[in-house]
Formats: sequence, C-alpha cells, structure tokens
Amino acid sequence: MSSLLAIATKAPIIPTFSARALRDTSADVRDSYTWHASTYVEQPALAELRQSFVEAVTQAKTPKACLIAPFGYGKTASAIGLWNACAQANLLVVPPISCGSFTELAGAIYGWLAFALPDSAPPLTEAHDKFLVSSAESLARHDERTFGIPFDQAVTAIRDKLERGYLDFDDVSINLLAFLEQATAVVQQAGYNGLVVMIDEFQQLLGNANKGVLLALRQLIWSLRVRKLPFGLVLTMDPDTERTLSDRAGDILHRIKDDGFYLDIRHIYDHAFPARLWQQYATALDLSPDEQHAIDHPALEALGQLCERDDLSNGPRTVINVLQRAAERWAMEGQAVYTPINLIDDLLTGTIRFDGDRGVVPSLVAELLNFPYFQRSGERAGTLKLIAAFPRGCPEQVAEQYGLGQAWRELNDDLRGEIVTETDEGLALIELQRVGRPANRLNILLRRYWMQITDQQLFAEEAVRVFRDIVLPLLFPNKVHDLNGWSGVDEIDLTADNTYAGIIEGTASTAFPLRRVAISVRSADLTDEPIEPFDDVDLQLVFALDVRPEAASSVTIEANGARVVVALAVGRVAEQGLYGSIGWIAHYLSPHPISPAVVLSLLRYLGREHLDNLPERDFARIEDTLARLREWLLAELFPAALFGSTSITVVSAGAGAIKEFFFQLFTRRWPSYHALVRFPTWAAMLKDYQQALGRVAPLAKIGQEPVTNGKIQIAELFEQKRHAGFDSYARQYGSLLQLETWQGNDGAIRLLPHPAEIRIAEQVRSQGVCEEQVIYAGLRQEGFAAAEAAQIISLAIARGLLKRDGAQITVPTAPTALELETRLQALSQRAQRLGRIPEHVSTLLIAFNPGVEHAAAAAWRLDQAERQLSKLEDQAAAAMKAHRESLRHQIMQHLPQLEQELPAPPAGTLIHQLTAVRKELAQKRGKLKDPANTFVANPDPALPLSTIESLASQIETWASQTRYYANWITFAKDLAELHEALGRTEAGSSGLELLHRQFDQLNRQARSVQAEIGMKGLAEVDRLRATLTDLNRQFDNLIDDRRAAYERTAARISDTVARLLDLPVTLPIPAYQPVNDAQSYRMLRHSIATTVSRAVALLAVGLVESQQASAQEKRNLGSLRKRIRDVSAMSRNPDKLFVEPSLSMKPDLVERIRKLRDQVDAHKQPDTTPSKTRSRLVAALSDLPSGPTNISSLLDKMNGTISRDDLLNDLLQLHENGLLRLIVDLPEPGDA
Amino acid sequence: MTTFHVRHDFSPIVAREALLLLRIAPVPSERDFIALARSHDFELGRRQSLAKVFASLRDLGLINRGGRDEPLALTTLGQQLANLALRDELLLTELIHLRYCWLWTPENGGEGFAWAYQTVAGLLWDEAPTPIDTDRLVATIIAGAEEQFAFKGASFSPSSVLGIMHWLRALSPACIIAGTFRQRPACAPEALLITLEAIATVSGAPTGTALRLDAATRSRACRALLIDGDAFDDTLAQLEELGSLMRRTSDGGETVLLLDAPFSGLAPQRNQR
Repeated sequence: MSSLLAIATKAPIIPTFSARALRDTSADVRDSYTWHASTYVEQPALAELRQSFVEAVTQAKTPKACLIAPFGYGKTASAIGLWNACAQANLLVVPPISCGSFTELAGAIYGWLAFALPDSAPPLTEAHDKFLVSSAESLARHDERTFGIPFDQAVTAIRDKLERGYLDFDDVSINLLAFLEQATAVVQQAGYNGLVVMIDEFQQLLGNANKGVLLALRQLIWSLRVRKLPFGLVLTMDPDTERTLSDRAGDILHRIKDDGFYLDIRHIYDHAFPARLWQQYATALDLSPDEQHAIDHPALEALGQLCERDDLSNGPRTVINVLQRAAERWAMEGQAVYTPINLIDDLLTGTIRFDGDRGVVPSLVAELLNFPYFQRSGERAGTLKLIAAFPRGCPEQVAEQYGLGQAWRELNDDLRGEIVTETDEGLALIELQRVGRPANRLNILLRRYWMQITDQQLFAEEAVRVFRDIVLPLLFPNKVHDLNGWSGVDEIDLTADNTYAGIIEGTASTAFPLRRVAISVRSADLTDEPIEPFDDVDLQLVFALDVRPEAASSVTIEANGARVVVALAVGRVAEQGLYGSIGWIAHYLSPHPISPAVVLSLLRYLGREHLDNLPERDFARIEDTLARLREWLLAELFPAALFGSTSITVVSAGAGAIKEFFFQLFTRRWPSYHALVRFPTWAAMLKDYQQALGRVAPLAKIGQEPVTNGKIQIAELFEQKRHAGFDSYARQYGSLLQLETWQGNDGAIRLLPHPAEIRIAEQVRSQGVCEEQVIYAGLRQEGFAAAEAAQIISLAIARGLLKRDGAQITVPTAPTALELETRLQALSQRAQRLGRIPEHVSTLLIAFNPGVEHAAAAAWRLDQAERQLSKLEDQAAAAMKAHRESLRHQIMQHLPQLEQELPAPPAGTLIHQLTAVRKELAQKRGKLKDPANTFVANPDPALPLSTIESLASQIETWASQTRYYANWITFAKDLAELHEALGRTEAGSSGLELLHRQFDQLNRQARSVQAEIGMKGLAEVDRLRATLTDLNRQFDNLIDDRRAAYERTAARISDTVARLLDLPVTLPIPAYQPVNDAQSYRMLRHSIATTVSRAVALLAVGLVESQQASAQEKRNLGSLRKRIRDVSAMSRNPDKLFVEPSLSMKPDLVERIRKLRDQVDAHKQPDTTPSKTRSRLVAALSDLPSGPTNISSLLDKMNGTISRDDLLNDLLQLHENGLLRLIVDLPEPGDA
Repeated sequence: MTTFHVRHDFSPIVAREALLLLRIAPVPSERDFIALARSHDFELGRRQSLAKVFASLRDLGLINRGGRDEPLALTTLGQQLANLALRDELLLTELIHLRYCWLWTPENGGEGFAWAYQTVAGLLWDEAPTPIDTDRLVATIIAGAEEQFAFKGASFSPSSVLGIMHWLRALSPACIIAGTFRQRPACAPEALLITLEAIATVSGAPTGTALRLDAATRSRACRALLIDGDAFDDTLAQLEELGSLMRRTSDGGETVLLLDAPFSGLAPQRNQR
C-alpha cells in the first residue's frame, strides 16, 4: 500500500535543481535524483544515444548531446536517467542543473566535484579560483585600458560579480574551458573514465540570447570540438529555445548536432511506454502481485495509445499522472482496478490534468455523451468511453472483458462511418484519427442527428415554434420590394394563449399586392379559441399542427374567404418517404418513419450547426441537401391534393401551391378588383402624380381635358428633370395617365381617375357625407390593400372629387361632369343588359351638356332613369328566376332515369350497333348525372343561365335518345324472332320467298340506319317498326305455305334418320300448329331427337359377350357400349343433334353414328333372332312416348311379326343389358 | 442538324409550370394553355406567345409533336418529369440538364442544340474555375460547329448562351458562383445513375454487363454532371448504399453493375426497363 502511495504522491514534474542548490545541498540532490532514477524507464532511442555517448566520452571525443522537447515530455527525467546510466559506466556526472551563467555553471561543477571527490578538493579549488581570477583579471585589464579604473579595484569588484553570476563575457567561456580541462583531469586521476556535465533547461543559460552570451557559448562549443577530452556535455532545451538558437546562432546548433547526439524526445514514447513504466514502478517499489494489478492491461494499452499522440496528451507527464491516479484509486478506493473507462472518466472530471492542453478527448466524449443515444443506455456510454480511450482502436475482446461486447457491436452497426471507424485494432472514434477521417461533414451531422433523435413527442412540444422558424420563412420569403416578398415574418411571436401569431404584409401575386395576413401557428389540440391580432387584415391564416400519426391534413375556408384554417398532419408518415435525390438520407433516420415532423426536426438540428467555418465543399453539399429537404418538406406539407376540398384547383405543391391558392382565393373573393399598386416604386410615383394633380386645371384633374404643354413642362409636373424616357415612365401609371401625343417638343397627357375614385365619389354623393373610415372599409371590402385604399381616397381628394372635412368626407355641391358621364355610362350598360327598354327610359339616358343643362338637373334626370331601370331589372330577375326553376323541374324529372342502367341489346343482327349506342348513352349519362343531381339538390344562383340551359338541353336529348334506344331493343327482339322463323322455314312457295326478300331488305335498312346515322338516326326506329309489323302479319297469313314447308322439313329429316339407323320410314311426326310455328318446330326436333337417341341406344342390343372372349375383346366390347351410350345421350339433346336453322343433322354426329353402326356390326354375334324382326322391335321401341309403356301396346305396334314369348324374351334380354327397364306393377284392387 | 440555338425563352421556371399544367390533362390549344396558366397566376400566363416554350418542350421530347389541331399532351417521358416537377424541382432541373446533354453524343450524333449545350457546359468544366465569358463561348461554338459538322455560320448567339445558363445557374449545388464556373461538389444520385447507364449504352456495353470505371468514364460522367472527382466517388457510394448499383474492384480496376435505371427515355439506355 505504501509503495503505491509513493507513486500516487510522485510529482509528474521533476524539478531541476539550481546550480546553487547543487553546491549547497549536494547530498539532497543526489538522493532525490537517485529516487527518480530508480523509477525511470529508458526509451529505446535514449538507450541508444546513452550508449554511444558514454563510449564517446570514454574515447575522449568530447561529445555534446542535446535533448529537445516541450514541457512535460520528460527532459529532466531523461537527463536523470542518463546521469544514472553514465554513472554506472564509471563516469563522474554532474547531475542536471539549471544555471543562469557560465560562472554559475563552473561553480556548480566545482561544488559537485568537491562533494563527489572530497580527496581532490585542493586541485579543484585551485582550478576554480584560477577560472575566477583569470576571468576577473581579463575584464579588469579591459576596464583599465578603456576607462582608467585601477586594476586592483577592478579585479575585486569584477570577481565579486562573477561569483554571483552577474557577468558573462567572451573570455569567460575560454576560462571555463580551461577549468573543465583541469576538472576532467582531476576526475580521471580519481579513477573515473571521464566527466559529464548536464545543463538542464538550457534556456536559463541562454537568457535573452544577447550577443555576449552567444559569443561565449560559441567559443565554448567550438573549442570543445577541437579538444580531445573524456568530457561530455549534455544539454536539454525546449523547442522555442532551439528555434531561437537556430535563428541567431545556427552554427552553434550545427556543431552540437555534428556529434550525432541530438534527439527530439517528443516522438520517442511508444504505446508500450506506460506498461514498461508501470513494470519499472513494480520492480523499483517492490509492488505486491495484487498491487501490480492496480491498473489493468487494457488501461495501460489505452494510456500508451494516448501518450504517443502529442495532440491528445502531454506524453509521459500524462502517463505519470494517470499511473498516479490508478495508484491512488487502488489505495483509497478499496483496491479498485483502474480501467480505460476510469481513465476517460478522470479526463472528463479533470482529475487528470495533463490532457494534451486542448482537451480533445474529454471534450469530444462529453459532447457525444450528451446525445440521447448514449444517455438512454449506460452500456453504450461505457463503450463510448472505452473506445475513446483507444485512439488506435478498441478490440471487441476488450469490450467483452468489461461486459460491453453487445454495446460495442451496436455502436459498430449504428455509428460506423460517421462517429466511429473500424481500424486494424478495433473501433475508434473518427474524430481522434489523424488520417482517414471522412471529409464528408454532412454524413457526420446526419449521424449525430440520429443519435439525438428520440421520439415524436419530444418534437411535438416544440412543433409550433419550429414550424414558425423553418416553414413560415419558406412560405413567406423576405421582402425584396413592395411587389415581392413579405415583411413581419420574424415578428410572429409567442402569445399569451400559447400560439405564435402576428401580422405579415407582402405580395404573393402581383395581382393582389400588399396583402396583410394575420398568421397564427398553433397546436391542433388547443382547446380554447386563441386571441389573434386581425386588425385590418385581408386574410386570417391559421396553421393548426397535429403531430398524431393518424391525423389528416385539410384546408378550410371560412368567413367568405376571409379566414383559412390549414390543419397540418406533421406527424403523419409520408407515403413515399424521402425520395429522389434525398432518398439516401432515409438510411440515416432509420428506423424512424419519415414524416414532416422528423424532417422539420432534422432541419432544426442542421440549422443550429455552425456551417460557416466548414470547408467550402462541405458547406455547398450541406446547403444543397438543406434546400432539397426544405423542398421535400413543403411538398409533403402542402401537396396539390390538400386544397381539393376547397374547390380551388392548384397544380403545384409546396410554396407554389400556397401562392396558387391565395391567387385563386383572392380572385374569387374580389372578382372585380384591379390593383392600383402595379410597380415596386408605386409610393414615390403616386406622390409625383398627386403633385402633378395639384398643378393642373380642375377639368384636367378629372380627365375631362388633356394637359397640353411642352414636353419639358409636362415632365416637370411629375418632378422629372428630363423628358427623355417620360413616355416609358408614363406607361407605368397604367390607366391613371394617358399619353395622348408625344411628338416634337410638345406633348399632351390626360390624368384619369381610378374607377374606384369615381365609385367612392358616387357613394359620398348618394349619402351626402361619409366617414373616411367607412369609405376606407368599403374599398378594403372590394379588395384594395390598406395602402391602396388610403391612396385612392387621397387621389380622389387631390382630384377634387371628394373633400375632406375633419374625419368626414363630402363632395362638391353639384356633381362634376366626370361623375355624370361615369354614371351615364353605368346606366347605359345596365340598359344594354336588359335588352329592349321602353322609349321613356331611353330618352333619359342622354349625355350631359353643360351648355344646355345644369349639372343638378342632369343628376335628377339620371336618378329618374335609374329608378326605371331598377324596376325593369327586378322584372327581368323575376322572369329569370322562374325560368331557372322551370329548368330545374325539367332536369329533376329525368333524375330517376339517369340513375338506371340501360338494358342490354338482344342477340341478333343489330347487336353490335346497339351495343355502341348503349355505350355512348351510358357515357353521356355518366357525365350528366352528377351535375344534374348537384343542380337539383342545390340550385346555385351563381351558376350562369347558359350553363343550366345547356345542361337541361343535354339531359332532354339524352332522355329522348334513351327512349328511342328502348324502342330499338324491342324492335331488335321482334326482328330476331322473325329472322329465326324464316330461317327454319324452307322456302318452297312464292309467298315465303317474297317474305324472305322483304325481311332481308328491312334488316339491311335497320343496320344501315345504325351504322351510318348512329345516334341521330335513333328516331328511324318508328318507321322500321311499321315495316316489321307488316312482315309479321304476312308471315302469320301464310299458313298453308308454312305447313307445307314444315311437312317437307319433317319428311326430309325422317328420311335421313331412317336411312341412318335402318328404321322404318314411317317415323312419327308431330302435327303442325299454325298459330305457333316455333312450337311446332320445337316438337318436331324433340320427337326426332328422341327417336334417334333410342335407336342408337338399341344398337347395343346385338352385342352379346362371348364366353370365350379374351380380356382384350371384353374391353373392346365395353368400350363400344360406352360410346353407344355417349352418342345416345348426345342425340337426345336437339341442340346437339341439329344444325340451326335448317334443321338438318349435324354431319359430325351423323358420322359418329355411322361409325358406331359399323363397329356394332363388326362385334355382332350370331343372332338367333331374325334381323328383320329385331329391326322392327328397335323401330317400335324408338317410337315409344316418354314414360312407361304397356307391353301389349308394343305388341300391337309389332303387328304380329313377333310372338308374345319372343317379344318377352327380347325385352328381357334388353333389360339385362340395361337398354330398357321392365317394370312389374301390381294394380290396386279395382284398378286392373 | 437544324439549329445550334438553345432557346433562352425556355427556363426552369417555365418548364416546370408547363409540365405541371399539362400533367393534369392535355390542353386543346395554346390560347387555352395561356388562359389556364393565368388562372394559376403562372409566369407562363404573362407571355403573349408560348410557341417557343412548346418548341423547346417538343425538342426535348417532353410533349407530343402532334399536328396543329391536336391537343398539347405530355409524352411518357414528359409525364415522368411532370410528376417529378410536383415534388422535386431541383432534380427536375438536373434531369433536364442531362436531357440536353444526352440528345447528342459523339457516337450517335443527335440534335445540334444539344451538341452546343454540352459543348458549352463541357468547356466550362474543362477550364473550371473560369469566369463566364459569353463572347468566347459563342465564338467557340461557331468555330466548333464548323469543325465538327462543316457547318458555317451556325445559329448561335449570346442569347443561346443565356438559354444554357438558365439551366446551369439553376443546378444545385451551384456551379456558377459570382460569375465564375466551378465544378460541383455533389449531384443527385439519380443523375449519376442515368449518366453511367448512358455511357454504358453509347459505349456499346451489352445489357446486364458491368461498366468499367476507368479514367475516361469517370471524366465523361463528371463532365456531364459538372461535378468533381470526389463528388463522383461520394455519389457512387450513395448509389451503392441505395442498392442502385454494385461495385466490384479487381486487379483490372473498378467496375459497376447498374441495378436500376430511373427515368426511362431520358438518356440512352440499354434496356428500357
């Protein structure tokens, strides 16, 4: 324990003894240096130097050695180590001393040698005295020659100064050299191999490096070069002194370097140094095995990696500081082992003072530990410290050793590339790497952002403020001039009700300049209605931010367009995530789902970074990414679809969408507004205009007369010094100023009032007197900006249209000619809109002529006209209302029809044409349905009459076409039926042939109507219908022809069947029914099909299986029976048996039957029954009706050609073969 | 090869507006288009005629070259860019820049205006950092047209340079700063992907084969994108991270296998995926 305390109390800085201390307390100096030497660890480079140096001394090469390093790099310790090592080599070494003069140096050497060689004191004293005397005498002679000072007095005085080290001069070094030669000789005589002198902190001796000192030093060094003495000189100095010496006396430095013992010890400490030093401590202090583990191996390795980096540590001084701390911890904290994590903790707390002066490691670790990523996990924080302790890289095994393997792997996965890097040795902090640090600052920023991102809630608390800071300036960029940008955005501040609110003024569209917009940004869950400033604003715009992921964005227009509420779902996950050129950033935000809130948070984070000091490249890249993120954010927050519910269509997204929205909202709200402010310098120009108004005649002020004058004079009216370019200048005033002539030296202009000036003049005239505020409010209602409204009033007053009377506005007694003219124009336009007006009204609408009529009389006349016009307008409006209502009823009647699907056309020759018609009608229906429903449900008075009329007309046309289409469907069905009837009726009479031709003609007509005329020809169906009716009537009348045709058909098909199946030709034929032609043919088909089916089935009657038949033969027979059953079943279906409409048997089925018969014949066994009889039986069976048949009736059909027993035998055989069923039926009593 | 002039009437803002309007539906006529633009308070609506804007859109293959009476409608490529215009204006600009660049190649020839565009951009890239000297650029193009195409008196003027500068100035990160052209420190990953595919295509690499990233390829890509070498490497790393390409390094050098081909039809492609 005490040994470790010795380490703990060991000062990291070894003080250098002064020359006087060396002389006065030589034993103390020796003991102190000896203790330090015992714990000194010699670096390989120093060992090499020491060995060569000792040899050089021994070989009398008079070597000069020099160690260079800043404070803290162990110059003194190295010198002590060298002192100790040289002493081991039997050299007498004057320990490292600091001295301020050569005399002091000589005194120190003298003192130490006297202490070390007490037996050699006399010669040493003699030599030292000689040095002093020689030096003093030399100077005294100089004083005597120069100043006439008596030699004795001078010697006494100078010697005193020399002894106290106050004097150095060129001759001193020569005398010192002589002293050193004598001292070396004394040392040799005492049995030593040589003498070594060590001057520590050489800068003390060099002082301010004045000329005298440098001269003395030069003489000493140069002289030593030419001496062959077993004498060595060791110097230590800091790099500043080295630089000074190099600048002022480079030759001296070169002579020192020439000997080859010149070493900069800043770079000699390798990473194994702490471990070796600790081992040295263990040995020198005899540490117990437990004590030796006071610091673990990874900590020694980490310390080594730190101490080899002069930017991260103060080299050996840091090492000693840490080892002291480790020893202290062991001793004071219950034998706690010191780890790399303790090392970083001590750096963080400042317990370790020597942190490389700049504190790179502690400041970096402290910064990183502040990120929630580390704050959330103690393991991660511990691992960060562990990794920070190893600038070369912390191996995974080391992390495992502290139970931090999992966290090590997490950091490797999460932070590699931006915060940590994987080196050959393990994970290291990128910021601690000298080379290979990524140049890409953006990626590092993104990773750091990721480490601090926590959850949406954290952001939610600040969402409103961040939105104000980031989004509002993007939507409302700073004002450039009155027609571009906004002012006041930075004054939107937090209010007492927890919203950010304020009024901004600016221009989104030049069509609506200088709008005042009250902005309020608030949380969507704010329950109380906030108090917002909306004094004299054009629009209240509320952004309600909802951070819930399930929220939805919306836009609502309230108060007739004066208030817009934009609810923004900032926490909603973006469907497409980050896309396009910023898609790669999603990797840095994983696993957080991308939402506007996250991007806002990222922008806020990046915005706090100080980018100005970054390299240009990083700056440009980050700025570019910021721009893209902002664009993404705005597009995500304000997509075009967001405004869909307002019935305002925007095609842009982001800030563009807002601009479009404002423009259309304002256009809708102020449809007749035309801006007064049309150019950026409007204020100055209108000031000039008003001055011009003040300088022209009254009639010229209101445009009744032009201003005619020289160009110069006209330009001067507007404060323009030159008339060149006045025409361009005048154009900027728009309708306020007309340039009538501008030729030669003369010009003529006309100053015209803005239409709004006339309106307010009329308003005041109609009311007699008006508050200015009322007029102002009226103008604001019309859409004029606040500044415009004030300007219009001002212009009207300047023009003489209005007069200001305190806070009230009045007009001149009689209306001006301009007012009368304007009023007449307005009334004439109203009359024009009415169309024809009675003569008594039109006579009132004549121009005012001041020569024949007084202005008051003209005003009265126009009043009369206006009253009449108002009456006429009321009448027209009532008529219009009735008309609109009538149209609405008309449309409403068709609504049920519009809801119904159109019937599909029937199969037949017209199906294609009618399908096309149906499709077109369906499309029209689709287009008309919604407008019709909308109009009927909510007849918008603003909807133009022409639109309603057009809608009604289209619906009427559609309804008519739909009716005709229904008629066509009926027609097509009937046509198809007649077509079918004629198709099955074989021609054979002139009547039927004529009917065929007429039908074909009608069919062609119908198709051509559809094909060539299309929708327009739908009405033709009525004409075609009549012809079809006539043809049907003709068909009905041709009874005999039809019957004959039927019978021909029946005979033909009977004949075919009989031949095919070898049946009697007298097959049963159903009778023809004249009233139901189709039914007759259906029965015929059914009858024939039954016969054929049965006949085919009975083919199997003759197939008797022989008892000697082989298995193959049996299989063949079975197969044949199956085929017979299949064909029989198929034949039973008339649709499969016959070809329509000619009612002939299908050739393929005929062929199959024929083939079956051949195969049956081939398999037939010798039959005991005569074939003829069997044929008759088959015919009889084929002819049987459906259902059971009495055997006696079958016997009758056979007409005695077979006996009862034979018949029963045959039937029994057929029964056994499954071709028919014999049923025994026991009758109920009385029912036999 | 009809003209070398790059229309100055066609700028990023009007291109974007035109694409956004046509994205909704075809427009029957120019007059209707102007009315539509005015109803949205677009810059396009302030022009008397849009003939030159439409001509540029047609030259770039973004709207159909229909007859006079046919409605104005986007091509498939135009539709893709219109969708992009809605959400990524900066990338849109970069892609139209690439469209100009790739409508002419030394291997396959193409449009004269595209040659002029890429020659001006390439010259600036070669000499970066360099001030924009319009007169010198005009003289270079006229002389180059004569040398390359034996075309005397090419129609190219300072306004043509302005037409090119509209696009170069709009690129992000900027390549023109305070009147001086500089190589850009970054570009959009998609732009590099399109460029590499185009280089592979015109150099005859079969579909599905890797592209060797030799010095010539790197230089050609950087020149087209106006970026420096570090930006090329950074963006390549991003593309690899996004899974759009696969990098292989061997003794024979580095190759990339392109796994994605966005914006079909914008630049030469081996396989229209």
